[in-house]
Amino acid sequence: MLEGDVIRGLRKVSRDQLKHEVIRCIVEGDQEESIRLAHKVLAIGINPYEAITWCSEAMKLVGEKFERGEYFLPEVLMAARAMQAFVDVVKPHLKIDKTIKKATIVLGVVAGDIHNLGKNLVRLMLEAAGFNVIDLGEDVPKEKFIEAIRESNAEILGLSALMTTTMLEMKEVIKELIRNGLRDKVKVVIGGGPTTPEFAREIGADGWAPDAMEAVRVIEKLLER
Amino acid sequence: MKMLTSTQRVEYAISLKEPDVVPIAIIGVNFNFAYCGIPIGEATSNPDLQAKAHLKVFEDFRPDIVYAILVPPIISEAYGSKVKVLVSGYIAVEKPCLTSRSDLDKLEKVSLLDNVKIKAGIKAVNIVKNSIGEQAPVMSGFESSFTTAIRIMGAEKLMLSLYDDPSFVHDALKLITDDLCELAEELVNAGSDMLFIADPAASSSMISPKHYREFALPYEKRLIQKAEQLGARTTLHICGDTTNLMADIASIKPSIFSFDQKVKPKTAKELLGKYCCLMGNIDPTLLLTGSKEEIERAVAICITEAAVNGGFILAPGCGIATKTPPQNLQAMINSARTIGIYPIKTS
Repeated sequence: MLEGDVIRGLRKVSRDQLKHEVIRCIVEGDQEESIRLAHKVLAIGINPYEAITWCSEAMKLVGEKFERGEYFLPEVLMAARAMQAFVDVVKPHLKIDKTIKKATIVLGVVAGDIHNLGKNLVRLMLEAAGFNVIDLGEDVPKEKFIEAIRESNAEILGLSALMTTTMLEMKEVIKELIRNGLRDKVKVVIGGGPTTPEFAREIGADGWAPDAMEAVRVIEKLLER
Repeated sequence: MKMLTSTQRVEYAISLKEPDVVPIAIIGVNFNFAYCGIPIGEATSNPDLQAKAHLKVFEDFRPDIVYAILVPPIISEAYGSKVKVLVSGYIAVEKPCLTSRSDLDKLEKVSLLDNVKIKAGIKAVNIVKNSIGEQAPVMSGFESSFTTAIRIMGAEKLMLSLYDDPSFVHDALKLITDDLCELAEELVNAGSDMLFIADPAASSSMISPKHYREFALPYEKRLIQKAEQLGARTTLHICGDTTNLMADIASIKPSIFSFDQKVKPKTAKELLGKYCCLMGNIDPTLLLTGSKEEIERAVAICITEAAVNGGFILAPGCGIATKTPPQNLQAMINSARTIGIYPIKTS
């Protein structure tokens, strides 16, 4: 065997091992370790873009654990924080031309509702997946959604609500999109505690996601169309 | 069976016996104000307005319990959190007041009972009780320690702290529970026959059963024991799926467990029916948007699955939305009064 092959082989082994470690430590929510590993990633010259894709793999596992009832919100938040810490170290080293231009998403909790935990997780997941996210926060009046979509030319609008009363506000936002001639320009994805796929269809949304992990998949699918 | 008073009816259900007809409760304090056209921001500091709203809902719909709980975030506000009134008719915490261990000293100095809005809430209970007398039990209450902690710390901070600094969370929970025990005493003295202890954040839709056992259950237990010492009945309400928590709930013996629409009435009856009275679980979304027929069907399912042999109170599975159409609530009540006559027909 040639020496170059041996070195390449060793690099592959250490890269695979590192990937494995990064995924494990994000899934376990170990923030300090994930920062250490992020620096290691940069030190041995792994493509930052590739390293960020590991995060998506890790969060997919977190999503599966959540669905199986092994993980609950605290565990998901621990993992999300570890992922964020990893991304924060690696992201500045991304070379712009190497990243694929991904869609812009306007995100917010509708008027009358301040429950932002789910929405914040969705934002993190979307950012990790490389989307450009404009987070309008919580208790967002419908006019503000319109303004943000106009200014950013967003392809996706993500709406969230936790309360029975406020989920009806999502319908008002969609009506406002129609009034402003923006309905065909943007796909609407909704989510949050009391929402269901039937409700999403009823109010004329394009997609529904049961949780933050699924939201990324739903949005990616909608963009393929 | 001869017709019972609401107070008797509820007592029969709590004793796991069959009353004349399934008792009914309407829960959702924000609805009470919205229904009467009272802005919530005004209601919280005005005991007369609060009492008027609670009594009007009772008089117009005639459930068996007068629901008069404190508006949830006023306790968080009393501790020093910044709140804001939302267009939806709810009050939300905008800026939590407990962000680090050093804030605990500040919280220690707060006396909930000296707070103007809490005083107003207690006074409202007193006005309600004086007006209702023994016609029906008055149910006041508040959110339990874990949910109060999540409000005053913020959800993300609290949930991460369960791992980062569990002793800090316990210290906060102990402090809150001590204060809530004092508040419980004042509410009972003011005329509250029952205490509604809501712990929505303790749900398995949020935290694991393991965390529930460590951070929510012991404090719920203390509040239930306190109420019992005071001679008040208790209703523990936890939102979301609580199937995996029912063995624990049985162990702390609330008089009533109020379960959410995510739990099948049949499941609740099987797991918990021997240990405490059950209350639930018409979906507030259905009450907000459903038809009369759909609501009647839901009531029928609920009663046939959970009310047989007594020990059941029909109620929404969670606080109803402020914009719930009154005719939908009426439909729920009318059908429960018909289908709920004992002995229940199961076919």
